Amino acid sequence: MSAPKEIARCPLAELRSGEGVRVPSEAGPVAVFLVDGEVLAVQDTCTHEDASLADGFLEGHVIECPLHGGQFDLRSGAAVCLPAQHPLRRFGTRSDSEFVYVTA
Amino acid sequence: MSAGEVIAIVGAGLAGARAAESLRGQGFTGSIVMFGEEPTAPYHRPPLSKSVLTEEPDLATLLVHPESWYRDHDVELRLGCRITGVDLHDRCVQDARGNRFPFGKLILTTGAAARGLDGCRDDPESRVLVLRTLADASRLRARLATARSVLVVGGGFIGAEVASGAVGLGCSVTMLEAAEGPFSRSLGTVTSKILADFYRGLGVDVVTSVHVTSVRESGAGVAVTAEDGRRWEADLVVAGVGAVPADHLAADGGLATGNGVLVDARGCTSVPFVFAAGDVANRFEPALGRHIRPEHWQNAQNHAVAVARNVLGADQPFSEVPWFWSDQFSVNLQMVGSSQGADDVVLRGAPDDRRFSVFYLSRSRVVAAFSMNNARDIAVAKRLIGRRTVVDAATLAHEGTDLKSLLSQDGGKSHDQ
Repeated sequence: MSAPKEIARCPLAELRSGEGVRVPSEAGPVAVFLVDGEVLAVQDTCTHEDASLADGFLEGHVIECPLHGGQFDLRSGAAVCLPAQHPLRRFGTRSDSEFVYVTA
Repeated sequence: MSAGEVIAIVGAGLAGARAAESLRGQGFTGSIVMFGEEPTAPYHRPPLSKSVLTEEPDLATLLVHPESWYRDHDVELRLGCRITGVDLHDRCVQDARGNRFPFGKLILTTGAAARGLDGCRDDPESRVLVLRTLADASRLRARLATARSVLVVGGGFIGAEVASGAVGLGCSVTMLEAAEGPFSRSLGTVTSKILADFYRGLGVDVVTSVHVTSVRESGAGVAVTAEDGRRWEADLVVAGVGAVPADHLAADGGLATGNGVLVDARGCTSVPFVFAAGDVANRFEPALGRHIRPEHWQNAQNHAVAVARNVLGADQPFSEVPWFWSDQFSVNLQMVGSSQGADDVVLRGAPDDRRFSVFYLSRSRVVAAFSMNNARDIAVAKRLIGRRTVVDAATLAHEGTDLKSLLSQDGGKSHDQ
């Protein structure tokens, strides 16, 4: 297995607990969240319709899509509430003092 | 239920499709037969009053499931089949040709029908149209493409979305509303006034307190007359005056009805082996302590999923705060809860910036909220309503208040642990 490749980065200073940040990547837009000090990254576009999950409502580890209310668990990517039915792609992350790096 | 049993689903809309999906998802291996009057497999209706009005849709993007899904999941889909009778004694339904289909359990997802105007004719040449089905939307799109002027009767969400599509096509649009303002019954006077100003600013002639008494087609146009003698003419009239639940089948079969098919919190009707879900179901909502009949996409699918589980014996009450959205005039509107009985209204944000929310309170609890381009406030409101959190109106009104912080008060439940 090859080492995970960096596909996007996001300044650490932009991350706020409970808020999402949308960053472009070669794999499509990625939404990066800070949850209880843990950085989680998933595909930004809802699997139901075209909406940005970074603009959604985060409660605990669950992100709710702002358009139609579908929900996903950020830890697994699993769809946990209709109308969302298909899981989100998850991405790896690592960070240094300045940036969060999204890896795939 | 045994594997040999048959579950019949009458009504092939979103609720019917989600019910079938839920039954299979729960492992039901018996027969599922779904009956639909329309020739099309279950489809999503929200786009019909939006994108479908201006461009011909790709049917595949409207379908709830591709047609192959029904074959793959052994769901017998009988389209173009109108069920005209339910025999509760012999447990079968009968179609218009007299064919009888037995069932062990029955789910009614017959939906609702658009209320018409007296001048409406069921004729493809008619210039007085309603909007409910894919066929209605296609007919309306063809008419709008050549119309120069449109009269929209009814200042509700369907009317406003049709107005949005028509304005986008360059039509001159007049909206006739019976109440003192658009949405004034569902959203109250504050929000109604904001929206009336919003529509007028976009070129819609909003006329209120209009009680239409006659709709007459003449030559290439239609004339609408009001009780007080006012009169309008246009190339086309679109009625957006609400819907009536398609509950005749249930009533004729002997089930309890009243503004739809009456069901308990599990979706069960007055007969233990018959259930109803979606637009047609007047369901007991435990959170409100009364029956409600939401006609929203979210309710149609989530209620149907829950009811299907109960058909299989799950015995779980369904409770959900009604929520819906509307996309019109390049803004996203959302509403959650019911403003009925509200004793206070709080406006946050600036209507002129097209980004604001209105919260409706009753005894210091949020009971409903409406927003323009402000979905996050709705997400918070949904939780405040569901948790019956006590909020201070002044705090809510204060611009600096982070709404999310209100959720952590009053024992708000958190997923963080």
